[in-house]
Amino acid sequence: MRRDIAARAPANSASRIRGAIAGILGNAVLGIFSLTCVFPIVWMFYSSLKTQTQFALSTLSLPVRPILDNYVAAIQSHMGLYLLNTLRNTAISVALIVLLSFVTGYFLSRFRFRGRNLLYAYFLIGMLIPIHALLVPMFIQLKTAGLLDSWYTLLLPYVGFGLPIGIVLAESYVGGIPRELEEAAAIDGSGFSRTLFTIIMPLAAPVLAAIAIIQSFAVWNEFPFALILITSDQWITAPVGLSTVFRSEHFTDYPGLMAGIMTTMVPVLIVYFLFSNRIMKGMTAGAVKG
Amino acid sequence: MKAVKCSLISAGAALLLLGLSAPLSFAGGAKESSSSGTTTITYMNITARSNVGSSAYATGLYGAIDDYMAKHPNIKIVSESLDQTSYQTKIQALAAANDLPDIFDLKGSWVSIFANNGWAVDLAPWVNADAKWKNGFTPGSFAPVIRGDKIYGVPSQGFITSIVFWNSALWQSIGYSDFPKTWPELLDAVQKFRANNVVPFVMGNLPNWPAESCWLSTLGDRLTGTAWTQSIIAKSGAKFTDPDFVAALKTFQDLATAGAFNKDINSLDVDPARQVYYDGKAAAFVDGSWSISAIASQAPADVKNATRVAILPSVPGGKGDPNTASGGPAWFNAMGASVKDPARQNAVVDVIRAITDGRQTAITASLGGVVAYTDITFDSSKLPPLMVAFNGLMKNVKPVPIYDAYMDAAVIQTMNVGLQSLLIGAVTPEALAEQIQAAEDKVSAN
Amino acid sequence: MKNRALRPNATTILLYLLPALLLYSYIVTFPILGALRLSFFRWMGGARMEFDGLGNYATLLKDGIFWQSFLNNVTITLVCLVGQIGIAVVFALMLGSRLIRSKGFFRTTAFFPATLSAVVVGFVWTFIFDYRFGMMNTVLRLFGLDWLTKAWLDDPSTIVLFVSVPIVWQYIGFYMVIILSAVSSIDPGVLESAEIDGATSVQKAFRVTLPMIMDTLAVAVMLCISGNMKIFDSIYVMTNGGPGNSSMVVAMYVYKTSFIDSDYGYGGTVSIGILLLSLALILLSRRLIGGRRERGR
Repeated sequence: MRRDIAARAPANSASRIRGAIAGILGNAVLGIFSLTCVFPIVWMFYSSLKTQTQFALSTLSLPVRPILDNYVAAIQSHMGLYLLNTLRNTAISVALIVLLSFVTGYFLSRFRFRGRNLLYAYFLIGMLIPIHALLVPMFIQLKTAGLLDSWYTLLLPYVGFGLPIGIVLAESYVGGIPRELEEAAAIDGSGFSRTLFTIIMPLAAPVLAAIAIIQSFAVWNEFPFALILITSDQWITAPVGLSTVFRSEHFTDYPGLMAGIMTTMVPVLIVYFLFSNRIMKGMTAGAVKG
Repeated sequence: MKAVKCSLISAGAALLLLGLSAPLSFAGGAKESSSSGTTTITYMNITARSNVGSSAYATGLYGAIDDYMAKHPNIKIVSESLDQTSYQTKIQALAAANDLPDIFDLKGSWVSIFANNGWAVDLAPWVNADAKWKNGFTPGSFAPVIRGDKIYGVPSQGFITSIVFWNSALWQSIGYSDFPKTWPELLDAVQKFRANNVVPFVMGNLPNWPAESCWLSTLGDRLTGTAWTQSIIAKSGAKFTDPDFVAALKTFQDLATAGAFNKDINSLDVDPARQVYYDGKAAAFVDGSWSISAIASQAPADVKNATRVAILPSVPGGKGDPNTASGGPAWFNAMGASVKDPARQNAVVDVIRAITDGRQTAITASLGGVVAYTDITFDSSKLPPLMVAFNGLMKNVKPVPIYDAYMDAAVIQTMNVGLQSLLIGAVTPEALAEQIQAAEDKVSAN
Repeated sequence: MKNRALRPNATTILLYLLPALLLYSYIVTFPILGALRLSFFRWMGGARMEFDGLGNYATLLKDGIFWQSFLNNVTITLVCLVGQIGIAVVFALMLGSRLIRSKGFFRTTAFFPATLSAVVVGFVWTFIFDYRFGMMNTVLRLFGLDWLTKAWLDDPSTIVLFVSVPIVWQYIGFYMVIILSAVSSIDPGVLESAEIDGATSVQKAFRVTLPMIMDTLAVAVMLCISGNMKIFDSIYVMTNGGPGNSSMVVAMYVYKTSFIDSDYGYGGTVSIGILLLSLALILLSRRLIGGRRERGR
């Protein structure tokens, strides 16, 4: 226990300079990393405004005369419908994942019932299996049950495979919420379910927001299940639509493909930049203070 | 805390809005009732309708489909297109689950599996009954899909997979006014190009089929002769470890060691490889006939005008005819096994006929596509000059089997992966030959 | 009454757990059991299905490609443990410093790559690694470092490291956000008292912050292992597993075995194999990190 504050209190100029240099370096590192994170999307956007020939001449340069043909092609296809399907899948499955993960994570964290560890491990398995081995068994199973090729078909695997990561995150977060809160609520006469949803759930909001963000993008971009389980044009999702609309047998039209990618991403980008700052702030604002 | 609540509420509101928009499309979700007399035929393929106009085959195919539907109002053809990788995944899954569409694209290397598993309907009764249709195809077109007396598909496109596209201006600069006729000349040219810092042959072998489909299928034939390939296909004695095939692998590897290819051979994709050639950084590339239209539409004028077509040179001591190039149809139209009702089978075959005979191929050929069904007359005035040159070249060239149109997928997989290693010297020809033979033995045992 | 509000009876617990359990069992466990069943058969997809006992597993034990792929997965995981979680922790700690500006902007942009699909990430990095006009080589040439330029994805001895780079890049922000949310739950009083005790920011990080977020780090490590054990898309786009099999990973091997070789039985075996190996790795990581946490408290 050294308490000689005096020794470091007079901030001499040397340490101040060191601090300033550290600050500049730190900001530079984070700044450069930020740039690398945004650049790909900027690059894809301006490349999508090029013709194939322009793109081939230089992959990095800005478009000389931006063209919108690629977007016209995207709009003329069924992309709007595909986007709507993806939107629906994302909205419903993320809501379900958040709710089910929270409840399950809560019980796994709070109660040491028999088989608790086994149940935790059971949910882990879904995170570890390479899904390509499951496509055929799952297809046969859903076909037998008559659940293929409908608006709800993809919700099943999306929620099912989204649960493990959600449960793991929720379980670990709930572990950090003090038990006293529930005890206090019980003394106030709040029933178990009410405490769970009106007291604990709001406290877990940061992690639930994290789960929602993570799973939104996972569902939005999902490909293999959407490819195999959906056949009707009316339920096709945007990522699969991209592979049907913008590929030909022998040539890849890169600018066209990028316009397609941008089209499928625009809704996500808008939502992300509208909400992310607020959600991130919430997630990292220290919701739980002991 | 407040921020979280606030953002959760707004996010929730956004979700709700999405939820509300959903019923709109649920409403359209009711399966179309099969109104009296309308037959719906499902067709899954690798040719997207969005390529109509830019691809000769897509234009021919969908032209034929639309024409057919216009003439047969009671038939509705519903097509679903995917890129090749996705298509392969989906069709295999559907097949394993016994849920194939009525018509689907069948790759030559899948035929054994599909035939053994009873996934595709034998089309021999219909094909044999229609002599005009059957004989309209170039001879040997059906070979990859014939098992015994059964025919499992009808050729969709014709290909020559091994054409040398060479930039005559660049070859002139090292003293070649014509493409080399012999392998030693080729190696000599490679040295000269190397000295001038020009890539002799650019190859985009990232998807790993080009080395096998565009090079080895022809180079192998030069050394082994076609009889060996036929014996491998028929599983009647020939082995990949036979000295001739090992010699072919060795010739290929030596060419790579001599510096014939680009450094990024295994990480470059097919389209960007063509771009290297367009930029004048590569003297030639070996690719399929589909590149003709690509060059015509994408290459800069000087490169386009300087481009000539040729076939791979002869190899000293080789047992094969030097005037050959790997070619023929690699994809076929097949009927899914779930079509059992005879009347429906007839209807499906009628559609297959419409998309494979003159109705499709006349359009495809007039736009510069290479077709398998040649009993057609078409307007050749609009063909690009390179296509005319190609047609001239092919008059004296005999097609030999494309390996991946005939050999089993698991064998081809081992070969393709191994060729990547072979070309960078990571595996010896002998060792690779043994790996391929092991894969062949495994397939034969199943 | 109060007691029940705190500790519900078994039926209530079960009722709450049931929806997730049923759904998960139906759509995740059943197909896994399906794959497990297939793993004991020789099945090429058709009507013929031969029981083969442990035959496939015997093949798996001797399968060089499988073990090479697994080794690649392990290498990628190790690179990512250091790269993703390590850098994420550093960034998260830096964001705690007063010296750093525009924190909100950084949080938003750093997470951004995690919103892209792995296919798009692979696609973008193909252009970065490209030998001729790729950004890497362009930048190197700009600085006159031509001798450092190379065909990044063509050398089997370094390929696994290079395909790991985009994976690391994509998920730094993801782990950073998770770690930030844990850091934010630390009582500021603890950090203040450490400061009063004269701890430097580095000491604070190692003695106070890190021990207090060990639980979250354990979860992050688990996610990192599970994610990288089934990594697939970005590598498939960038290298297709090549040159040869040098950047093959197990999930790609499962895919190629099932959908190119049509060997569904063996595909099932490979996937069950990697499932068991991943579980073992996760248990190991729990043991390692869990142990340290207990000592820390």
